[in-house]
Amino acid sequence: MRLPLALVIVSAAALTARAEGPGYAFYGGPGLFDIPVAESAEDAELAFSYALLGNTQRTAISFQAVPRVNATIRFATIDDFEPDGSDLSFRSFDLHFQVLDEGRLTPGVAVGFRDVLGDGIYGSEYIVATKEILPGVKLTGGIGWGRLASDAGFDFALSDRRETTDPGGRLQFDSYFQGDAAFFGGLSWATPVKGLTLKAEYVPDAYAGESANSDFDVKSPFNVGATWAPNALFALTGAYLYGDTAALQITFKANPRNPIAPQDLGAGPAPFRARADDAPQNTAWAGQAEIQTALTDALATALEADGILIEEARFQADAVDLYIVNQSIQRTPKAIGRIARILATALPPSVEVFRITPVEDGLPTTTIELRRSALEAQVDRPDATMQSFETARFLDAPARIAGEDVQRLSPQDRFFWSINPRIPLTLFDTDDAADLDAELVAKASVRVARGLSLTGQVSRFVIGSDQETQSTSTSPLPRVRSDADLYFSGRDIELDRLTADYVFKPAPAVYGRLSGGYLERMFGGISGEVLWAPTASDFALGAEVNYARQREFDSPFGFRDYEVVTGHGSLYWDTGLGGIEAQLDVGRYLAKDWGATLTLSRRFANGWDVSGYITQTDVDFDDFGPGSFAKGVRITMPLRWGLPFESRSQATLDLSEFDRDGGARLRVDGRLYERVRDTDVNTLEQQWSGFWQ
Amino acid sequence: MVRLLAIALCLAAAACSSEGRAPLADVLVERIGALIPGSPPPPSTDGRAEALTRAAVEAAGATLIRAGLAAETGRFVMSGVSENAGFVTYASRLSQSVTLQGGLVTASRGIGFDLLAVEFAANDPVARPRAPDDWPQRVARTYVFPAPDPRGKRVTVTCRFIASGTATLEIVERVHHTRRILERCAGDATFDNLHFADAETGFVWQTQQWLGPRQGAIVVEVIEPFTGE
Repeated sequence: MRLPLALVIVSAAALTARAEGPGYAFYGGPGLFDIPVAESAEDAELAFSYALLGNTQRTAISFQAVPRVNATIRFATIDDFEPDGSDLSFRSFDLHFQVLDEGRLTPGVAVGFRDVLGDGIYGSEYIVATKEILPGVKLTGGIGWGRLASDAGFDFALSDRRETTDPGGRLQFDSYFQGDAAFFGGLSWATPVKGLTLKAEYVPDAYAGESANSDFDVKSPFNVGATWAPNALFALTGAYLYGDTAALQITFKANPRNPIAPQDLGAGPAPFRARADDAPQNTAWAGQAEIQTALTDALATALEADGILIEEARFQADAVDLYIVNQSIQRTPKAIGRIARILATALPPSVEVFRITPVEDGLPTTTIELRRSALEAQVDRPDATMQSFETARFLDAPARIAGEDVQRLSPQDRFFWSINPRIPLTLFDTDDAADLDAELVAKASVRVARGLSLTGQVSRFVIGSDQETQSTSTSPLPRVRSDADLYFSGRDIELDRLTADYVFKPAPAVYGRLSGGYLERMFGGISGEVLWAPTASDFALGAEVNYARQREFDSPFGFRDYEVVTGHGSLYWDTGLGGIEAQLDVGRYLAKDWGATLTLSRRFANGWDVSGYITQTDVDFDDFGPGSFAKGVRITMPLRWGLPFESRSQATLDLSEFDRDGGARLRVDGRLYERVRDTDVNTLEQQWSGFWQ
Repeated sequence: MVRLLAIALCLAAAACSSEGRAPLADVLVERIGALIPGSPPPPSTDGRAEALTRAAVEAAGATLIRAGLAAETGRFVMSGVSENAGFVTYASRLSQSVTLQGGLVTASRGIGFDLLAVEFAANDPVARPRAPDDWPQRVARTYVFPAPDPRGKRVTVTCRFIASGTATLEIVERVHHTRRILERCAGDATFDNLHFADAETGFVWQTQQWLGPRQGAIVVEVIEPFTGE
């Protein structure tokens, strides 16, 4: 679970942006303080919030997954909750459906579920309406069940509300909209002061659990306060709640669709020079090795300015083939377009066809074939972008450029090392609430040959917890993850990874990978994978088999007795609906349990990716423990979104339940689909508006 | 707080790689370094420091414009580097470029948020000069911006021309008698452009035009027009 530090930096750097969208309640979803509102955030908006109210802390991430559906995942800690004075920590998940948008005379209407899986004590459902009754003044009213009717509720149900299942983490069909109901309401006023909204609400929540064993006391159902949102990325809310306590919430917002930094500052492309109509079509140069070498050197020098390296090149009288490594330009079509501009300037007039193939982590993926004459006719015209896409051909790339006279350049990035800080922000570990530590991570990689590399990575906590030496796991399953604390603690230098990796292409649409060594912090072994992924297909199929043995937690090279053969068959589907992709993995997991994982991702052309997964295996709910089955959320943010220059770096926030044994997968770096999916035709099409940039 | 400070120091000090610094750090150092007092000034590359004379323009024999963001005072001389079907691209030595069709700005690169293209009507007098008295009352245009689609994000507006007097301009020692024409655009976006069109031919010698919702407006002066030769 990594805190994307850059997110904080870029949020702070964009303080001039305009404030907009609904506010976020202390539960993390659209709302006032406690009550929800019938409004949606802008499509794809992410909100990261931290709230402190009474003896409760809530950290939440809210995502407007599609225009009418908002999902919120939250981790809460309530101090002094238990009779013995101990705290209660739990995660929970909300869904908010915008049924109707606000009309000229009609209110917006939403239906929602809090703690829909019954993980904690926030279970409630609601139907809510919101209407702007005066300019800037919005009135909200609704009816709630569960916790939202725990004070002053009335009988308004078909049946009694059942207790949540134990363990939780499952759909609670016997509880939804059952039991007592109660009305709630509130008012917000966007004042003339820029970004300042005053709010008040009535909420029939007894806060019975929070007040049972602590000083916290609900004296009033009325809450008042204000939100200050000076820009579109940041909001601060202060409130006086329940007639008893002050509360504070800080919210960072980000929308993948709206980069916050200029995307092209002082970094425009080279001009595109067309051939003269009467340009000589001499082809004698094509047979001269020294000319080809000179061309390759000149191109390599010109492209290096954009962080593009040439791996292989072949010049023919009428065509050029290039295998390139794009080191820095975030959108591949932009890199392809820039290469095409250079080729149009540098190559003899007889060259008509440009075939450019990106090589991603050692794997040639898609060959983009461009006709020079078409580009010459298109450049700078209003429809140039669409025309260039329609006249380009996209082909599955062979492993190497075929034919004679291929110039294969020795890898220019043969050795790489880095030392980087990492902040493992623990959000969903049931042993520790949100806790801020810091690690240094050193990585080195040697590229032995095309596709073959040796990689090592070590890390050390510079700020963090002491070494755990005793297992606290009570899991009845093989402890493949529940002893994670033994591995991820202390101040010793840890060997995270030491592997040899080989990637290859046995056929143009087939990719292969072999990895061996210390694959991850907790397991070593051998991993093999094959992927069939035609570039123009919406579907891909993969298979992975691993032999894994559990590593010692206190010895860098030792192994424990536990070993397992694990693997999955995978189906990948790009739905074509708003960037939504689905992945189904079926197979055997680390604890020798059999089952399947369904992952839904929403990917954006600029590299943002928000995904969620659930895993169901033959481990029963009781053996799995709290949560009942494995699930998680992962958010990937390209740093380019917040930086005014090109970069392919990215930050990932992984909200997985890492310490559960059921449904646990081997964490292998560089799985094939992750390597190749950014250059398939669907992704290239999404990014193609960058071609002439 | 001490914990946070320690983490911040760790972050600041740690990032490095076989490149000497992390690639991100390199760019940051380069860009931020220029802002630090005492840093050596970057080499002059924009031409602002050099006095531009008509004699120099004619000696260069190039198509030239001077341009800059309306919100900024800096102006950059850009020379024509390519042409296709009347779309002339002008580039500065700072890797910035602007494409014009007649006097209509149809694309920008390297200035911040790119304008990919502008679709315009055949009778658009800013793109296809005609005497100011013959300008149509209004024209339709579509501005195209980057989006997750090869068609781009399209912003369509209708622009109304409003004559607002005459003005005499001097652009690098050459005097132009012009009509001042305000262009009021509305539709998917709302903005104003301002043109100084030659009183006789309608050619736009100086213009302020919208580049997009996040970029604002650009000011362009035509020093030496493209003649097709």
